[in-house]
Amino acid sequence: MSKAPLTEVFGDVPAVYIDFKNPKAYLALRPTFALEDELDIALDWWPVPVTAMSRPQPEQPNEDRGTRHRRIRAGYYERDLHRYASVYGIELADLYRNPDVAVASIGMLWVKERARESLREYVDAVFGRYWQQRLALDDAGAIEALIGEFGVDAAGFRTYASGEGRALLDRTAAALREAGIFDVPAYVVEREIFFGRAHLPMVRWLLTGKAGEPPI
Amino acid sequence: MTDSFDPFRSDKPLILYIDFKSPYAYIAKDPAYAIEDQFGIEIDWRPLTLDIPSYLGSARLDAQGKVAESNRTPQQWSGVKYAYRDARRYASLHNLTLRGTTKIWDSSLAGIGMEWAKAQGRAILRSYIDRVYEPFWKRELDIEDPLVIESVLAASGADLSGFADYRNGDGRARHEARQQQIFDAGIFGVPSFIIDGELFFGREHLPRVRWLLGGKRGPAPDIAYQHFGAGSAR
Repeated sequence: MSKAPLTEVFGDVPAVYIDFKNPKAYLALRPTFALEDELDIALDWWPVPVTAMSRPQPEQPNEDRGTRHRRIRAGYYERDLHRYASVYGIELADLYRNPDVAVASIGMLWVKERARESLREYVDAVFGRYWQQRLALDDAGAIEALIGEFGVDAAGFRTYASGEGRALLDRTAAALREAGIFDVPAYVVEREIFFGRAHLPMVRWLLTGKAGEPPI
Repeated sequence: MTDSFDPFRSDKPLILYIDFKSPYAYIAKDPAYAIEDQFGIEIDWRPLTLDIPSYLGSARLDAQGKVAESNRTPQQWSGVKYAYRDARRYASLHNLTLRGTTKIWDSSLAGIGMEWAKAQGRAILRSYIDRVYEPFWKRELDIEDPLVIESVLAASGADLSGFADYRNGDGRARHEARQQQIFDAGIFGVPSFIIDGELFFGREHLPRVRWLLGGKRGPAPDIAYQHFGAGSAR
């Protein structure tokens, strides 16, 4: 896909980009919902499959400093995710699973197009069940059934998932990667990209007219 | 020389590792001062000299800002570029200037100077940190030049007698030994906060650090790049 200008990739509505297999995106869910509720806004939610987290390598004899640094850093990030998951009462299963998230992501596009009011429930349910190891993200039957749980008509979903929906996901994911979305959660406000839920005070500050002290 | 040094322990309630060549550590400086002032505590400020090429690849830009040499992967470049943009946008909101850099600086001498200033008291340490950070990030200060570091120490009110020997001898040896101890202990980046023996890497943990210092009142906070106004410390 040729490089699209940011104005075409990112619309005027503030957006959030997620990947169901990513624990950082999962931990961002509650505070992002809370911000939507507080400001009475609906962010533009999009799925974007990103590279899975790399499992830290076991310590090797004679490893060089860079390898050791990356191993120590990865171990720290793992502990950090568990430390903050407890804030939300979340138990995280294996952080490094790398399933094909296309079907669950296309399910998100399906719900978004047909029943925007059910999108939050869908996203919440997919994240929650996947991270409790009760949902396989690549199971089209399970995703179809889950869509139906929220009263959304799932007739035709499988055809959509292998045709039009798949094309939409691939097209948007490619454009987003080209535009600089390489991690999740990503927030885009005023065409600026912010990776990570730590930026939510900045997102809030921008969306409330930059009132008060800027975040730091 | 390093017998009593423990990377995770201090007689102060909070340890903060910084590196003058890190823009993120620079941005964390004033919020850390605010913690000292608002909680009435003294932070144990320690230098951590990052070995950036070992984990992020190395690069050198030419005078036009173009890449002259690099062994970074595209992923490393994406991460580095985003990190600088991110640091710059937060810094600019707080009137801090972060100019681009054309090389990875050796900040060890500035770290040795920091230890020298620290031994002479909190006021001199703060003055030194401020007098290094701001002009360095405006590219007006060569932190690799011993005479420059000496002049900053002098301007900060530090007694310089013995510093020339220290920076080449005991100070250098202690710095190198401690850097290895810090890395061996699993502290790998800046800013890193240590409280009650627990490591928090990045200023996004300041809400948690403040919560811990304040006696864990209320629910445990999540990470956030958050501004804490005066009086909101407890």
